[in-house]
Amino acid sequence: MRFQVPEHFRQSMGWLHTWLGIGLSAVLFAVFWTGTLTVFDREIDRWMKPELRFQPPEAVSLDATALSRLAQVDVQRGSVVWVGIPRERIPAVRLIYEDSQGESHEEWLDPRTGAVLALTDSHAGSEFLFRFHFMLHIPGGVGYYLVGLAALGMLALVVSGIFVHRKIIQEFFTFRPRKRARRAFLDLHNLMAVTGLPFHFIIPFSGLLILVTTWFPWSMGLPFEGDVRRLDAAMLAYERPLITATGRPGEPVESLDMHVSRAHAMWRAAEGTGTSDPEWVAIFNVHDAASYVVVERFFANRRVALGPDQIVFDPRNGAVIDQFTPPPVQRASAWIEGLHWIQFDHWALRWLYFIAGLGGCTMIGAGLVYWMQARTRPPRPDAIQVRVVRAISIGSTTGMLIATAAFLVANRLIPADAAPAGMHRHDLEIQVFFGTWALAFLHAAVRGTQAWRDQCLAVSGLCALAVFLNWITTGHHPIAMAGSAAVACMDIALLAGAAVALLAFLRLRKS
Amino acid sequence: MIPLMVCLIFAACLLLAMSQERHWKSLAGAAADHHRARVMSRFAAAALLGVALMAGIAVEGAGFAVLVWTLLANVASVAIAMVLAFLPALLRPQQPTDGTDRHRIRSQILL
Repeated sequence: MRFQVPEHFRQSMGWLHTWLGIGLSAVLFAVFWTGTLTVFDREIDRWMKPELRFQPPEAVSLDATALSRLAQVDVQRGSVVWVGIPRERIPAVRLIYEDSQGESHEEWLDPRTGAVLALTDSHAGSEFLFRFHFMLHIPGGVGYYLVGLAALGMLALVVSGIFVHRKIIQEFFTFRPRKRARRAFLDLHNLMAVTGLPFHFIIPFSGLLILVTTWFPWSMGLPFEGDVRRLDAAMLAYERPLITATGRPGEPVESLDMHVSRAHAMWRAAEGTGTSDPEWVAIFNVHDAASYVVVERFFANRRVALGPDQIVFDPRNGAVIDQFTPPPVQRASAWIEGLHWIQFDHWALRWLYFIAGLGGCTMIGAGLVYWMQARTRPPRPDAIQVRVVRAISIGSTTGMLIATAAFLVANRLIPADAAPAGMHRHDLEIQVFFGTWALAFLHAAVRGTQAWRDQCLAVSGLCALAVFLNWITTGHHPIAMAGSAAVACMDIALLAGAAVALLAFLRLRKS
Repeated sequence: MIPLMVCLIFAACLLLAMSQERHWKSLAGAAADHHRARVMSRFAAAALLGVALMAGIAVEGAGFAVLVWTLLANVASVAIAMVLAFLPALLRPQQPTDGTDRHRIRSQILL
């Protein structure tokens, strides 16, 4: 007997799917798009900070780089020094320390020479695009809640969409581009949605899981009688060093390399040759008689599940003081969260995520166009709600693409020492992003349907301009594969984006 | 191992598409008795998907294999649907072409 969805239930789900989709589409597209780009955040970093365009040597000495630098700077005794170990996607040594005035410093060191790199001041992919993905750059926590609401809404959209679709199996591989536009866009929406169903479910679900204590803090607040502010205060104030500083000066740590290779060997012995590399090494109670070294990996590079795995060493005699591995009960959530963070070195999977992310963006865009096509009856003038939704749709889809491309163009055009009215250079890039995005919304409101065409042309031009400016300002271009493979791939992706946008423009001009 | 998974999953998606009446007719023509062939291709597709997952788990480990398998199935399904929509001639090996079909398809994509 075949199960039939009752018609009234299907209609209710249809209403929910339509209006929840229209209401959340702008946020969902922004989050999906920046999430898709963040898959290649470190590669975007290397494009926007040309000083990072080199391959790290096979063996990097932290002693010759980080420890040498620490000997030259004024470090607060008893504080914590963090050293980020270079990896395939992050070629430089990252050094974070506190000076004797209590001011925090972050430096990037060349792993080949130990010299401090003067990086272009940009928040690029791993800071701006990454943070935008989960907080939309809105201060005061509003962005977090909007994104959380969108993620919950996405789950509801996935479930309601299953009930709305009448022929999921029969039309699984169906796309009819030559039918009328409304049918073609519905097919495209359905095709992307149904084939990507597991991805569209697990991504918002894992995102919700990562920030679950931000969005649902009440259970954790129970020990504080539900007072979440007291919970936050207690969490911030909580500090329990493994060994308390004595206050007496001690010998500086002689070697970090020794502890890192020992930790790696211990993990390899436990897990086999496919074990992940150490990610950070930290010196606690630095320059104190009770200093100790922690080797850690949180974003494991050869497995999906997150850490942390930690081994604590006594730098005076090399003894293992403590070792931490997450308990088995944590593995399931660590895997689900890890599949969202995508920090592993698996290039095939990274590209698949990127393609699936683009599919998600296409699904949202096609759904919006279908909604508008269904409500447009030329030559009758469009209803006000159609015009509003159209302006929001264009601004939030092609407008977002324009803003991203303008962000890259600004990165190559703004001089290194630009600081008007005391602003940082990286803030200028972000202002360009939001300024262009706002202009795209305004343009969409004024131009109506024509704005699709105009904005496709703008995307195409800006993408090509970004590649050209990269060539002019750094000498790197994809034909010579100069710079690094990451940069060449990004240039090729930008050129492909320019070509697709140009094709879309030509197609729209004829229709 | 990834290339093998790509081949197996693409083949499985093609067989799944063929197992549907609409695509069977579009690729093989309106053959009289094809129900049995369609059912067989469904079983074959399931077997290929199973082998792909097992091969992935054996080499990549379960953590990575599940993700690669799921996302490859996603990409392969979209790719097969696009080929069926724009270039169905690619999947009709026996049919002789005189080049006009290709020209028509190219102009449809570009314009």
